[in-house]
Amino acid sequence: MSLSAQHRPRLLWAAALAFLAALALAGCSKPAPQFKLSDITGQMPPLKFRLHDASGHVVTQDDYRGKITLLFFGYTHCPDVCPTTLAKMAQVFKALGRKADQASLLFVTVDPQHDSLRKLKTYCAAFNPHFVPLRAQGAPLKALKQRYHVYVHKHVKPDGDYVIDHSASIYIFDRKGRIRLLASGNESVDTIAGDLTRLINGA
Amino acid sequence: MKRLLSILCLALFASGAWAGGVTVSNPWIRYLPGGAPSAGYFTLHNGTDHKVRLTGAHCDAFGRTMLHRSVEKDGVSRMIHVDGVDAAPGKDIRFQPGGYHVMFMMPKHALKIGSRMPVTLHFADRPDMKVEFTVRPPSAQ
Repeated sequence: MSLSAQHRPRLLWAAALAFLAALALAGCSKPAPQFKLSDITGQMPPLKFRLHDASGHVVTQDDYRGKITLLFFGYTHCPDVCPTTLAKMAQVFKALGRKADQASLLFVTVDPQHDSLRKLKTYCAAFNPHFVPLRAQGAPLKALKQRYHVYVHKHVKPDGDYVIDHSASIYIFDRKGRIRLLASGNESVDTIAGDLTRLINGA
Repeated sequence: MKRLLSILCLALFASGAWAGGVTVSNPWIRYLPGGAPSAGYFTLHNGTDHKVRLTGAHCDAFGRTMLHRSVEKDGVSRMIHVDGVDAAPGKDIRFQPGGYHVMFMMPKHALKIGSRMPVTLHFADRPDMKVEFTVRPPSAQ
């Protein structure tokens, strides 16, 4: 049976109403925050660690509750990637202005045999006061690396010099210690600072 | 015109180094504290009509100097030693953060930010070239 000219406008109205209802429903549910970095919310366990700070005190995730926490694994004998990433993050923290006080970057050494607490303290301080050097050897470091699937492989050359292949991403946790974002050192200062600002503002 | 040419030449020499059609611009080294190895960066332009191969560098202020390349794959960064880097005629090779870099190891004394450090670049088939690298702070990009 073909539709009569009388029925057609009624169908159009029904379609229009359904469309408007769908729009209204979409408007009611809270949209997910739009991050430019990789949003990995819920894809990794919450922040948990037990490491030593530059003064030798034991620090855990509880010391950073209430702050946006960035976790980065590196080593001071790394001439290019680690300093380049930390230099970029120093620019990011600068761009955050006063909001930078609400974030911390934890620099965990993957080379504890070489990186003494004193060495780490001088190294991190050279970049930004919000960068916190942390160190552990043996089981606590191994547990942390496993928890966040951090790849570390040391190559020792015949002359005793060495390089360490390592995960170069930055893990970003919210105030409650939940994993939220993964940043690569290749992202721009604006991109990282923008997403951190969103998290600081409660996204 | 002569004056303009001399100004141009002066500008060229002031911003980097020039040797027989090969120019090096913006050479700098990142200062790092505590005797950590530092990376040196620059852009080399091959203005000649043949391939130029950079094979190494030397600096008196460091015990050892090597050419390296950082590569990142699947979120893991690796550092590879390279024997040389080729610049095709008319092309640039860029030594920049996260890529090719000169690795300066075992500093003999602390570097002063803002100072200039003489570095000699070695090539496979042409004479050495002297370049002054500017020492920049850790957070330089």
